[in-house]
Amino acid sequence: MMELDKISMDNILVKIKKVDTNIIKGENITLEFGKVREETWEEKEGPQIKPNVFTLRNWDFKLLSRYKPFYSPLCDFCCKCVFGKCDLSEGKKGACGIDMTTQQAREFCLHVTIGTACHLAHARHMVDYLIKKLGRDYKINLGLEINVEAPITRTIIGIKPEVLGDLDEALRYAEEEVTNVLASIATGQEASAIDYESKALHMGMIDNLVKEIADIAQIVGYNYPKGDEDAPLAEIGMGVVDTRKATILTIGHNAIVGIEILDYIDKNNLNDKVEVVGICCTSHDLVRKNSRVKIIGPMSAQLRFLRAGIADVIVIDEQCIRTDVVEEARKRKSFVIATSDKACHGLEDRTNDPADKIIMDLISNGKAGVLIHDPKKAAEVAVKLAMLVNPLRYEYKRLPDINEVIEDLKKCTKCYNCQRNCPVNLEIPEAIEKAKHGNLFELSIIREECIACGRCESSCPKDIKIVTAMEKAVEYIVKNEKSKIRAGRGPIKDTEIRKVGQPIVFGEIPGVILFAGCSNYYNGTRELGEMAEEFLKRNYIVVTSGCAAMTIASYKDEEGKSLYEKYPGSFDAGCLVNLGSCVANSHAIGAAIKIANIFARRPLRGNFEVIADYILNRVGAVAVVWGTMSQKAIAIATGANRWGIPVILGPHGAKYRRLLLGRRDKENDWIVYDARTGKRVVADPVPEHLLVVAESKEEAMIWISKLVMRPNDTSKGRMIKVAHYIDLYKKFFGKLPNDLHLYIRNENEIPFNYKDEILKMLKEKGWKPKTIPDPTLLERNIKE
Amino acid sequence: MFTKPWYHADSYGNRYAMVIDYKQAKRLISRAKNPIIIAGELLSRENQAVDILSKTKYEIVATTPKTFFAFKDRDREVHYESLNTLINFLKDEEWEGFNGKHYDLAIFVGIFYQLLIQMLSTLRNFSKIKTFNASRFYVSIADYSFPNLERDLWIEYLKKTFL
Ligand code: SF4
Ligand code: SF4
Ligand code: SF4
Repeated sequence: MMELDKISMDNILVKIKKVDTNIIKGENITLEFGKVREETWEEKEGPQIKPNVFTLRNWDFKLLSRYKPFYSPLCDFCCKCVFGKCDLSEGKKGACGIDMTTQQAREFCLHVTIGTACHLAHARHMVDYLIKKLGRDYKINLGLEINVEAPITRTIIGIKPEVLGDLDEALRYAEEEVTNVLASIATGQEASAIDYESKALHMGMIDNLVKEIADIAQIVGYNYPKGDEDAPLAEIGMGVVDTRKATILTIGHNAIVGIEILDYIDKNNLNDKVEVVGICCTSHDLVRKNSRVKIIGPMSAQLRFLRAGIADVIVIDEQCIRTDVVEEARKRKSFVIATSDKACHGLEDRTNDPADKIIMDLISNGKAGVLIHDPKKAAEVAVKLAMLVNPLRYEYKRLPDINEVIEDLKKCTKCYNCQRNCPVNLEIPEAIEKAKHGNLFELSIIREECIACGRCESSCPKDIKIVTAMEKAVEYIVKNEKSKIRAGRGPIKDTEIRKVGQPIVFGEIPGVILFAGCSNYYNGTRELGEMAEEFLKRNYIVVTSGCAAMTIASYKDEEGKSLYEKYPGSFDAGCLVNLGSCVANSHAIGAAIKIANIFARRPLRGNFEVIADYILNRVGAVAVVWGTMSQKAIAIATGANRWGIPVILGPHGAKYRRLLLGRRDKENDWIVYDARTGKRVVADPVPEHLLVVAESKEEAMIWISKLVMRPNDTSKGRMIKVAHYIDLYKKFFGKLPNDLHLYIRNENEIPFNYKDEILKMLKEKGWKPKTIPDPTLLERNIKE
Repeated sequence: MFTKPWYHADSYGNRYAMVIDYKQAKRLISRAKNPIIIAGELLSRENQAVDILSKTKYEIVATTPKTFFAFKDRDREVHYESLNTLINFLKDEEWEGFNGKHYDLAIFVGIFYQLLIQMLSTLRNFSKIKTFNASRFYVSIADYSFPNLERDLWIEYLKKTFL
């Protein structure tokens, strides 16, 4: 016998012609059941299953009362509706009644919602595709060492996903939430900045959820590494391509078509004839499937690689694709195949035509590309087309001749339009002046800081090919630009959490640092590798994903070894973990949740607040999004914030318009409950900020060492964290930090090396020891 | 004097910083009750500018380690605070500053201009403090700004303003 409240039914339709009993009588009755599954998770349901906008509002308000929004408008106007355009400066309100502060919160919320929608649409496509291919009942099994397979989904949705069909249910919830928040951004809806902030945090959390879903689906569906610390090393760099072969370049974030391409090549034994390379996250995921695939680099490699003309066929899927990819491809006689409803690029839809016909038409009609939204057909066309055109494109697979480049540069009139449109204000006209006379050295120097956006070129009245000239300046170096990256390993194993949970919470492993985000750096690519190595040497756990993981790979030592070759891939002190593509960085948050669950036995199911409170107060994790570019990057960061994880943004991050800053000088902002006594006590001001912009690499490193501190650190752990803070500060400033007294709670926390100096400073500051509370922001966590 | 913002995408609205030369700048600073110079990362690459500013009598806060060191090398005492935290303090009228008083004029130099523009925007929209951009490039969102200047001329401007 089954108990009805413990089972559910899946897509069962019962049609009854006639029923005639004592209880019910009737004809043509239809009964439809939603889902059937025996309950296998014994954990009790918490109060926050599938939280909506109201459910976690109080938690958000708690965070926002300590970490207050800091707004930096990008302009004085709002042009969101045709009631306006409205000038909101100097206290003016818009025609709808909105003020500048609320408008900034609204804009920020919109950014986060767009980013979340991208990951959600990606997850939806992936889950639907895999369900169609493998069935709803396809098992989610991440191996013997991963029992908590989906910590975010378990916490938010309250289910333990066992089959692909379960992910579909979770996505439906996310779709509803995104729709609601997007609707609230319309004119005449939400009217309060703080509510927009709460909604933004809600969207960030949903972003983390859908990324986890997308990644788990593809890990099981395509058999990617399942938390494997020894995932294979793959080649990365502009110089990795075997240019003798036909080359297919994939750009984007969704690996479905790319994997079809790999399958087609394998089935037809074409591996020695066709090379598959990629830019951005699709290539991360293709490498997880097959480490033979080569990665060209992050988004900033896009324009450069297109200009090099090496790609015979460019297959685009979704996200982070240059909008001018077709125009650029046309210049080098490459072909573009668009494959996604998110990025059709104006190309003719040939999905229903035979592959060979599409190819022949492309070659004969001079069109630059087609849209094919059938992955198998797109794969067949890509491979066949690349093989066919490769021998014909020889003259396009190289940069123009040096004399041609110099002749082009001679047209320069030094009008400075290029520099005045360059996001990093590079001194392009000066470099061109020298290059006109044959000295391309300055151009090669500015290329180091250039993010290859192409704005300089499009603003040049003389139509000078500045990016091409910079590539010419480094042509020889780029041909040999090769490095190694570890394939994305996906989730952190439960066994690893058991080992490091306690040292992280007690502070003996000084912190977990996630380097994530795009490649919009303002000071070159080396900085990310330098930061990662500094903290690897200091025994932090360094985790990375997406473009950041690729950039870190380009940082090599004198022997030419990348950090992935030098540091192990485990989730442990002094190790470097590549999680994989951007959606895989959900596992970094997953790891923090698992620490709460596996080490500290906090229940997950419907218990968001309890878990976030645990992470904020006890898990020394911090994220660095150094090359901020897309809306997705701020969605990721905002999600991390809601879970209590601080995020450091690179300088461009200030343009997201909103940061979350604490005030270390205001004691009352740091009041917590001591769960042991129920008393409200002042804790130390850590972590100081939730979302902060750093102006330089060194400043970011100082922030990292501070933002991993937690009020619950044991004295031994705090001493270790403080020692790193002091050490870095001394290295950069040659003295003790001015605010050191705020982070030392008793004399046991004073690092031995600097004891006398610190004691003297503490005396001058009038420092007094503080007790270490059992900190929580939640009244219900108070022990009876 | 009218000038176009250096950065073509720098268009905040109808408010444009007043373009001032070194004479006006000198007057502006000397009339301020409590001015502070905020020196960013890029100043550390400008030796001549650091030489000049290290000799000025006005209070300086460096916002990055490299800039702090550039002054330290010249035996010039400066404060350190990260830019983002500093602007958050500055917009609070109750913040007592490094010298016990709130500042009424913030002078910016050597900050990556996309970041500078955002920080100026915060102060312009959410504080009463006056801002003066003493960088080489005119930005619209400050209250006062030098015009766009060739490097040599900018050095002259700095000398005549701060010494
Ligand atoms: S949304 Fe409001 S402020 Fe914006 S343009 Fe419309 S009326 Fe003006
Ligand atoms: S925009 Fe063109 S013409 Fe003007 S300075 Fe730059 S390269 Fe020369
Ligand atoms: S391509 Fe490079 S040089 Fe040109 S505007 Fe972009 S960052 Fe500046």
